[in-house]
Amino acid sequence: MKRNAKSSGNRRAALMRWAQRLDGEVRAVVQRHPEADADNVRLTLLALQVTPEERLARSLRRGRGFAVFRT
Amino acid sequence: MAVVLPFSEPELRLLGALLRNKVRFLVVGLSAAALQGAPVVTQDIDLWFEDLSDPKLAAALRKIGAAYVPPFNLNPPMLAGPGTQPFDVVLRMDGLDDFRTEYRRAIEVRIGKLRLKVLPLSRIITSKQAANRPKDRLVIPLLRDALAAQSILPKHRTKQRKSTMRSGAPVQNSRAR
Repeated sequence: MKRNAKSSGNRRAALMRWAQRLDGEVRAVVQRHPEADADNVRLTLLALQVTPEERLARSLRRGRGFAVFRT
Repeated sequence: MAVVLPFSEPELRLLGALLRNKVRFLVVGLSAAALQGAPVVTQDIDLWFEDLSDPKLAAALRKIGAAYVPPFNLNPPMLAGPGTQPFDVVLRMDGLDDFRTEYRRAIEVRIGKLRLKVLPLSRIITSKQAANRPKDRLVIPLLRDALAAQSILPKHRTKQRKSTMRSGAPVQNSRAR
C-alpha cells in the first residue's frame, strides 16, 4: 500500500513536471510571437508529442464528426 | 500500444500503389497541416498530382481497381474505386510555385510503411492566403500559430517513429505574416 502511494506520488510529480515544461514552451512561443494565441500554440505542441498518423487520424475523426452534426 | 493509422487497408493500398508506380504527388491543404501538428479538423485529404495524364497514375489506379474521373458538369475531378473515398484531387494550388519546385521543398512524413511528400506548413499558409476564401481566412491565424509553435522546437523533439518526418526544405522557422 505504501509502495503504491509512493508510486502514485512519483507519477503525479512527473506529470506536474511535464505540464510545467509544456507551459514553459507555450510562454516561450508567445514571448517570441506575441500575436500568437496561447491555446493554439499549446494544442500544436501537444499534437507534436504524438505521431503524424495520430495527428491526421484525430483531425479526420473530428472533421467527420462535425460534418455529421452539420447535416 | 496499437498504432493509430488514419487510413483503412484499401486507402493504404491506393497510396502504396501510387508510390510504387513512382507517381509524383503531394499531400496539401489542412490534412498536410494536421500531419505537421496544426490543431485543425478536416474531412478529406487533398492530393496534388504533378500530371493527371501520367500513364503511371492510370496504371497504379488500375492495379487496385480504381480510376481517375476528370471533371464534368458539377462534378469535380476525382478518384473513384476502392480506397479513394477520403482523397480529393487538386488541380492547382493558388499562390505557389510550380509542382516541381514545391515537390523539392516538401517534407517527408512516414505513415506506417509509406513515405508521403507533404507541403510544408509555411507553404500551406501561402496557398491559403492566395486562395483567400472565407474558409481559408478563418484558418490562417491557427496555421500561423502552429508555425510559431514549431519554431521553438528542435527537430528531434517532435514525435517520430524513426525519421518519421524528414525535410528536404529549410527548417520552417520563419513566420509567414
